[in-house]
Amino acid sequence: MAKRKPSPDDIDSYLPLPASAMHIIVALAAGEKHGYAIMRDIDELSGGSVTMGPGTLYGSIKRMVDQGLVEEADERPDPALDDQRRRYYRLAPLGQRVGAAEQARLAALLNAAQLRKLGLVGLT
Amino acid sequence: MNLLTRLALLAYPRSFRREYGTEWSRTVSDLQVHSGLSTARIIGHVLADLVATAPRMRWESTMGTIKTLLTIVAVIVGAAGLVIGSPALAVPVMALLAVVAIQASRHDQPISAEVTAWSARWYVWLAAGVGFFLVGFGALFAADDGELSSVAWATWMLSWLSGAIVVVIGLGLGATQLASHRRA
Repeated sequence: MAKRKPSPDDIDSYLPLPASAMHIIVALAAGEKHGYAIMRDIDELSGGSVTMGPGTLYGSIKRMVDQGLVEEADERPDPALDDQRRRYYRLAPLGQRVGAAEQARLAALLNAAQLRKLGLVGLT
Repeated sequence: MNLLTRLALLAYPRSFRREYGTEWSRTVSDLQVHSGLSTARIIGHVLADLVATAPRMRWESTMGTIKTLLTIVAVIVGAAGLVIGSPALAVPVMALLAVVAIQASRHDQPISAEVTAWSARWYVWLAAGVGFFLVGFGALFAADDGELSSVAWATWMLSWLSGAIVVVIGLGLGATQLASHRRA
């Protein structure tokens, strides 16, 4: 089935979010971050199972900025890394709402998987 | 490494480079300085990511031009059909418009890190190839008493040649997809 064109008036039209977009939303839910910090956060949150490359990261960010899910903050150095100025990104209000809707969708899916004892298949 | 980074960045469309090129390069440099990975692993990681994302971005950035071009060709062929008075030319017009509609509905799908995303759409290439062949058939039907006009001949020649190329690409991608399924 063809996916509807996303519209801010219809949050469901953004769902399901691509995994890369949801990872970025979760990373930015903790606050503003620059590209490399987002990449590192995703790597840590997934226990190393998701390693996002720079093309995937900025390709997704570009799309999310275009859709109004993510906003560019200011440029400033990261004291933890070096004194180079970096562009920071933050979640837009629409991005927070879409992230919450995707979280609810994934929670319902996990709930259904648990009810059907998906994790127990083959173990009994 | 800096030269490699600059060369790799050229694989992305100009609009992306202008907007995110500096950040992209800085992130690769961050990986090199702060990630603790070896240079070889970073190069492998960046190249795999580039192969998965750059063609898609290039495709998206050229889609606007291709859509315009196909629409113009469809209008020209349609107008030629009206002038020649052959309803058979409606077939290539419909085929071109179908290709435009398919691409317009698909080109804004999200970037995926899946390297197999291209081969997963092998059937779109096959469908586009069939579309080109239909255009060629339309030109043949427009023949007057078995004589092809130079415009109809050029349309037939170009569309069948393009159709053959696109079908071969589609079959190649289909074979790649089948092989990846078997490996899995």
